[in-house]
Amino acid sequence: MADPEPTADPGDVQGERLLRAVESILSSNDTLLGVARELRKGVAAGGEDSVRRLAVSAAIARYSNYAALSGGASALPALVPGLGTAVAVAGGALADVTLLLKWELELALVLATLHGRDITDPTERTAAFVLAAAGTADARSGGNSLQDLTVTGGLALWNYAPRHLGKLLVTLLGRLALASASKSLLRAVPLVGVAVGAGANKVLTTRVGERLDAAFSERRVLQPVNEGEVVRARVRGDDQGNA
Amino acid sequence: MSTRFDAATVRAALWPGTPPERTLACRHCGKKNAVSVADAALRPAKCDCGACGKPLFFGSDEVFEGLASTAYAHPLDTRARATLESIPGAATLLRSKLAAVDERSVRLLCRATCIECGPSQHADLVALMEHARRRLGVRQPVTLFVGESPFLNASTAGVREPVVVLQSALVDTLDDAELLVVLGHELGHVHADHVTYLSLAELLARGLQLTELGGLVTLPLQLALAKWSRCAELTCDRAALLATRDVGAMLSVFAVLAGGRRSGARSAFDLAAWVQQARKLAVAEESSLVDGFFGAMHALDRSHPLVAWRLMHLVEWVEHGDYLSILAGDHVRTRPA
Repeated sequence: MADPEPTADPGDVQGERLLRAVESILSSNDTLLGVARELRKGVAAGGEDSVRRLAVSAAIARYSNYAALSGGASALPALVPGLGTAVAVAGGALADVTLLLKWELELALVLATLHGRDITDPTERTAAFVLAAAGTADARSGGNSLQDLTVTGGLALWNYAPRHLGKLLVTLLGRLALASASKSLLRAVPLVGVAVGAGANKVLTTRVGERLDAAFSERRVLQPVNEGEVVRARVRGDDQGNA
Repeated sequence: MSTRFDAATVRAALWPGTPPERTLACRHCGKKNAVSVADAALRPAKCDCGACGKPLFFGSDEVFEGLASTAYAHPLDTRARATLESIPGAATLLRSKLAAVDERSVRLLCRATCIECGPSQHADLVALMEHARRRLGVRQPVTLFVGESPFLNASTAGVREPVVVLQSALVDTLDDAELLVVLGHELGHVHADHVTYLSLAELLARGLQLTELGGLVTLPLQLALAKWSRCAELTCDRAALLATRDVGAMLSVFAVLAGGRRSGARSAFDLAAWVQQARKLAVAEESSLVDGFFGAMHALDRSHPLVAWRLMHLVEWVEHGDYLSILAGDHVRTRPA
């Protein structure tokens, strides 16, 4: 399938930096697969669809709470008059968007797992990141980043080559980094900054989670997970499994 | 295979019910295969791809080509190392200093107080170490020593030409399969460059302690370093399993460390009961805040995780982590030199 080149964006350098910063604090696949397992075990038993719906809700609630905590914490230096305010303006916003992205990218990977996708596959992983970054940017600005970058809906994203997905991701993160710098002044107001930081992140992450769930659900309909592709390994030896 | 616990005993201890299943891609034809974790972990040589019929896992003589330590490292270990790598030139500078000064000093001390192993001295131990070294892809030449001590312990030092010291209590107590576990663990420290990075972290910590913040940062830094050290030990337990590919031998060594090897009338040991004990501990700590708190307090300033945790972490890695993927040939590789 043809891969249209994403529109060039002046924030690509910022985007690369932000991506490296987030990747260095991202949890491993082992950990995230463990989270998905734990969420599935923690919901009431039922059919596959209801277990998945409940686990998805639990995942969105969990990660939006983490984002709220980090949003509040990044504005805490504002409680210290003078120096605290300067730190909250300069450092808090950057730390907040990095941490926020960490929670949202991890949420995207957990949701992808709950929807039956293999997050160790680079295409799946990067596509999940693109959805999370686009969701974050759109929830803040009210726009439609993917449409702006000429990515059409349906399965288009998962048909991109990993290289193009990577470029798309960097462009989206660049826009996010530039937009975040302008939102930092409110954090400098003691106490208000903490409440604003926590509340905004909670709402934002919840919206991103709902959008991610919708995208993965649409994909399940258009491209069901094909269990028929898996064969049973043959184990030589007796049927009781003795060595 | 371990001479102490056969595959059936290990299977019954770890998975008394139905073992979990994993889906792994065949390295020959790419087809995904569903396989029981018990069969994959305990009888890898007997598992064949359901599509092409070729062996699903690496044979006992096959090595993991270009295996990177990040393929099996504990996530906290990887993260801490990445943080220190971002300090320009620090690791390279320290590595040079460690190779030129500390390594020479340690080698001299070992030659003065221990027995150096070679072709005519404990050649069997050297053969085991070379076996582990090949399997993990450790490039540096490693010198093995045996030291006199009643404690079950081993240590590693050096970066360019590392030294591994096995204490005599280990050599007298463990069989070949179990010694391979210990050697694989020590070589894991070499493979993951723990000597360099933990030394660098300790140096930075000491530097910070000399500043005005000294009193405030000492305790948190020491606790953070202790936590990293424990995660580094979990990384090396994984390296040991990759070197030996023998889950029974790993369990046997953990059991010995917990006091599970007695002689004479009390030599009987129930592996299944001990694994059950460890599982109950894990459940208690996860489900109870109080037990979780006590567990954390007990481990707080230790350099090594508690034995039961090491067992459960390893089993978790076998069941749900990358062990079987690596055994099936799917792993992060180092860039060619």
